[in-house]
Amino acid sequence: MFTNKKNWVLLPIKEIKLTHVSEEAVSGYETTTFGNISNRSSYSITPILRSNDEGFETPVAYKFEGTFYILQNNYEDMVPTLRGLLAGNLNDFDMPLSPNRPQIQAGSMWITIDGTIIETENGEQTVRNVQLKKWRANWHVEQSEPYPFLVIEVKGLFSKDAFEINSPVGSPVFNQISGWQ
Amino acid sequence: MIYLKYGIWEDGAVTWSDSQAFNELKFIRTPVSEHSAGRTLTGKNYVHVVSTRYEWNLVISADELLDANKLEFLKKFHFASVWKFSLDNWANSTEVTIADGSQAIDLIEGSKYLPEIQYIFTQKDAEPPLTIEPPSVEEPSIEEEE
Repeated sequence: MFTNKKNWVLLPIKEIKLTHVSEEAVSGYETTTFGNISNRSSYSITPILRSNDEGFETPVAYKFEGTFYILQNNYEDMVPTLRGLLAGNLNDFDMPLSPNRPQIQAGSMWITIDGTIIETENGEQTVRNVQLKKWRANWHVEQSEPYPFLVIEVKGLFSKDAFEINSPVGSPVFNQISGWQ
Repeated sequence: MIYLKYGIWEDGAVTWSDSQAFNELKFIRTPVSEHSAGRTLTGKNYVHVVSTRYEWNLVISADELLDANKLEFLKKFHFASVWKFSLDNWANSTEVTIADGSQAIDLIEGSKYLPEIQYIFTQKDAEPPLTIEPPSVEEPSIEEEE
């Protein structure tokens, strides 16, 4: 019987990074790295489909949705973290993905969602060519034994060109996939 | 691919904008007719065809409107006085009118960054009256003559 199904569980979530406004940081922004990501966490990348006049559904944008359970085994760290999350808008999101053990052709991937909205109405050149739209995160604390989990829910909406390999001038949304490009 | 232009009246003449091309999500043509119907004093119902024309339902979705220049074009398009479209890069074109009121924008996923814009174009000039070729008279076959 084929029982090594776990070998095909690739790209677990190593950590997530959230950048948010901070009055204390010199740059005005503070990045918090969350490790200890529970395997209850999940994420999805799905096309937003619209029906065309030929009766088929075609993607017009993409949606990223993720729910991350972060073990909070240090209450001293948790409270400042929550304070930081409350302090301002969450601006950027990074999520390194890597295989849970060495595997053939199992590279790593880095999802980075820059929350900057690019305004091009005046024809100005933009750093990133991908016309990224918007993402937002919400969070709550879930009680469990022996430690609580900080639950962060992320929803990102971005445009169709996020998957184009050649066009982005800056960093693409999905990059660092081994063997890609 | 659909090509759009809008125009404004200036000194008694129309000034047309540059062409803007869109990959449309939907572009569906529907025949429309306007009738004048009534009943004569003898009780006979009648229907006169006043005009016939076409309507087109155009939908341009968020994948096209991520280009801010295209979105800006459609804003001006909505404020214009005259409109026309082409499906073959202006080898042929059709003048149309649009309904008054607000621009019909559907926000995908409720996000203002993913707009989908819909237009109902109505053909400006009516179609010529319908003509029907008289049925050709079949010559009797030789067998029937016998």
